[in-house]
Amino acid sequence: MMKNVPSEKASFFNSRYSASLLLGTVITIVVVGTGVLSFFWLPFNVSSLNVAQRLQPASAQHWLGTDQYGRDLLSMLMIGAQTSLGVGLFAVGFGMLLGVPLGLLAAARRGFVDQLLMRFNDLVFAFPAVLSAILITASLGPGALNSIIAIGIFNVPVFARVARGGALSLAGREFLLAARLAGKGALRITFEHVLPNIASLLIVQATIQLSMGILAEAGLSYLGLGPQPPLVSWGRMLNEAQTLVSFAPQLALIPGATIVVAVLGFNLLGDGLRDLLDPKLRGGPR
Amino acid sequence: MRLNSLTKLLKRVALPCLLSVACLAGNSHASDHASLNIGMQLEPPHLDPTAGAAGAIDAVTYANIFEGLTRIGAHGEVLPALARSWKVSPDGLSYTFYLAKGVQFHDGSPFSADDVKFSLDRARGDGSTNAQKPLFSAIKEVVAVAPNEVRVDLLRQEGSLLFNLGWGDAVIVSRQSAKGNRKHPIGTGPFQFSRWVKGQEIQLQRFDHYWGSPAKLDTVRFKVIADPNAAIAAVMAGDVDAYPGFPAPEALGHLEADPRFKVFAGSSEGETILAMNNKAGPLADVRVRRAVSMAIDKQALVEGAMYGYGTPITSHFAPHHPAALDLAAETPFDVREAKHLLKQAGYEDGFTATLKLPPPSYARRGGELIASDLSKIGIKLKIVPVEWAQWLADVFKGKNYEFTIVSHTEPMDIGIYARKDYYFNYDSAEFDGVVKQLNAASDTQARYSLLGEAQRIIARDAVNAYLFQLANVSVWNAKLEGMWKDAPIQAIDVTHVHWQD
Repeated sequence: MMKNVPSEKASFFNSRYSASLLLGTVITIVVVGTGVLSFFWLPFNVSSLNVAQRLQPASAQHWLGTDQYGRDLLSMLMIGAQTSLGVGLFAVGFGMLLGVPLGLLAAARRGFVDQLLMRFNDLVFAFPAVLSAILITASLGPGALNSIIAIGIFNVPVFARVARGGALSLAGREFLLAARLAGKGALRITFEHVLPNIASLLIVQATIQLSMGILAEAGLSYLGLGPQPPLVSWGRMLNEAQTLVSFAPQLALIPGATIVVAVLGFNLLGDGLRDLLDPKLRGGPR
Repeated sequence: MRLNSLTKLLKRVALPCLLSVACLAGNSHASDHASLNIGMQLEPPHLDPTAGAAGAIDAVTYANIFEGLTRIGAHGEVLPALARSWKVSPDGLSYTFYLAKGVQFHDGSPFSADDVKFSLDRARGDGSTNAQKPLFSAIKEVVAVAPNEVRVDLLRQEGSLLFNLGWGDAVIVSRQSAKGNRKHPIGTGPFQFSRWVKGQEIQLQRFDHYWGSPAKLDTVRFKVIADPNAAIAAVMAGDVDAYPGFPAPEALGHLEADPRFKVFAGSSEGETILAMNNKAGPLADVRVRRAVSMAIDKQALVEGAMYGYGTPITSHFAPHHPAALDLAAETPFDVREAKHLLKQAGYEDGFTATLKLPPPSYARRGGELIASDLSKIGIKLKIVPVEWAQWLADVFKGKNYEFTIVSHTEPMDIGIYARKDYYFNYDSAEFDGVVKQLNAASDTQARYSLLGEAQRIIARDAVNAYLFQLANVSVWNAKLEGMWKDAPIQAIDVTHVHWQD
């Protein structure tokens, strides 16, 4: 039996703060924070390469050492966060912008429109997302924009399903009937009443999708299909470090660990938020 | 539910973990002594050396499948091939070649003087698609005197005729099979074509009716492995036994220390250049091109992209050739002067352009360093990686580019700057004049001074930015013998390669 979607206030005060939520929030703040910080300040300029300084070990000057072109590794990681988050955010935004209206339309119209949209959805969903992203970037050509499109396309059915499911669960509820009685049209009801009520669902999903987007971007870049230089990407850092792994393993391990931590952070945050916002998962009486 | 989400989480996290661990482990499988697997960076667009400029065609076919009248040896020397001997008339205008006997093509048809006449006439004829037509420009007539005797009459003296006839572009083909050579090459060499799996490998088999000393190997496979990571892995795992032009110089130290491998850094004829489309926007202005040349730190480039394997060059000329000049003073590394030149040309704030990069690691890595160098004078380069076939069609044939990086591996190829339809879009009457004189000159000293003049003109005009001479870095299985250390011509000659017992 569905319970009312609780108000924001109630959920915050009544829930237990889970460890995963806390850890996820901290990691996410650090990752997003360094990404934002890198717009304004970097320890070193990474667009100018300095071969004489290459492959230096960690030192007081270069905290994580330098890469094969003499760039400061810490600065690379910081500015790489821009690319990862940027591609991830735009891809998720792309998926939401297309997927949510489609899902809502399917829920509002039902019947044939619903069937058509959802079967098409299933079709896209049936393809393994990362493999298809590789296929798309390989045919469209590598680059940041194409990566966003490739990753974004596979976010569309995810958001369409979540939006449709959320909207359907609200069907027949009193406040919607009241809105209809007040003479509001389907479009207005959807935007004024349905959307706000499924927003939390969408936010949780977006957080999880973001972590997958970051991972997909790293995967594409690792294969040379992601954003191209001079944009810095964690995935490409990994790829380029691979031939150096026998004498500079830190060049592979550090970006690898960064990807793991960033993906883990967004996942924990997403799971934590879901526990917090989804009444079904909350243990004990409210 | 909790457990489930944990498993999901682990799954999501497992992939990046795997990504971060470069898996290079592999076992060297015991190679049988009759086959050889060779790694190469670029896949040939087709297999007819008389109809394409791509060095990868010659790498597979030269000496192995096709033979010419003469051939170039491992050290750049001219050796007899199908012509076992020759006689030059006293005025130097007539060469008589005495051909090998008992030669047959791989399809069983016999080889004779008619095939030589057919091949040379086809190569220099009007409808020829030969990539190096100037090699034959001195030839007036080819006469089949007898089944085993050919006379080549010249319009003028040509000191380099025997060398020219040793190129892959001058090999002898059969009238019957010439058209099919792109897909199924048929020559007279010790190996015959067996199959080609596009994108993967080209396989050759020993030709049992070869006229000369037979090859020692039964099967040779050329495997296309462009990615440096994959190249290292393939060598370590024993998937390839030899890799001439190894794309990951940073791993050489590691490979050298491994007793399973031999590592060599020989010389090559590969002038690596930042080619500029001389008709594209700002690049039409010589001041801009000079500024580009002066903004590049070549020493750092060799160090950064090639880990020191390579020699900076100052013109389109191999530095180990006796006629090479040091023209560093034409466009010295000087960022301030480069900025000044750009300002004079009206590009004080720089401009934006694209840099198309073919797959070899010298291009992909060099491109990043050059983009950084040029950004210091305000030129913002958008890097576009392209596949090899795409590069050949779009950049080389279509001239649809602004900047690109590529290595010209033909020997003594400065004459390409006189070609009007070449992808540089360079046009200089002064240079054409020098090349004309050069073609007519037979005296070594005179030729050297003309070659010097030619180098100076293209360096002054900064047609391209001349980066470095590629080193021919190869990794072989330690038990392998008979591979070439240097690359005096585009070839991976396996005719004498064998395994040590």
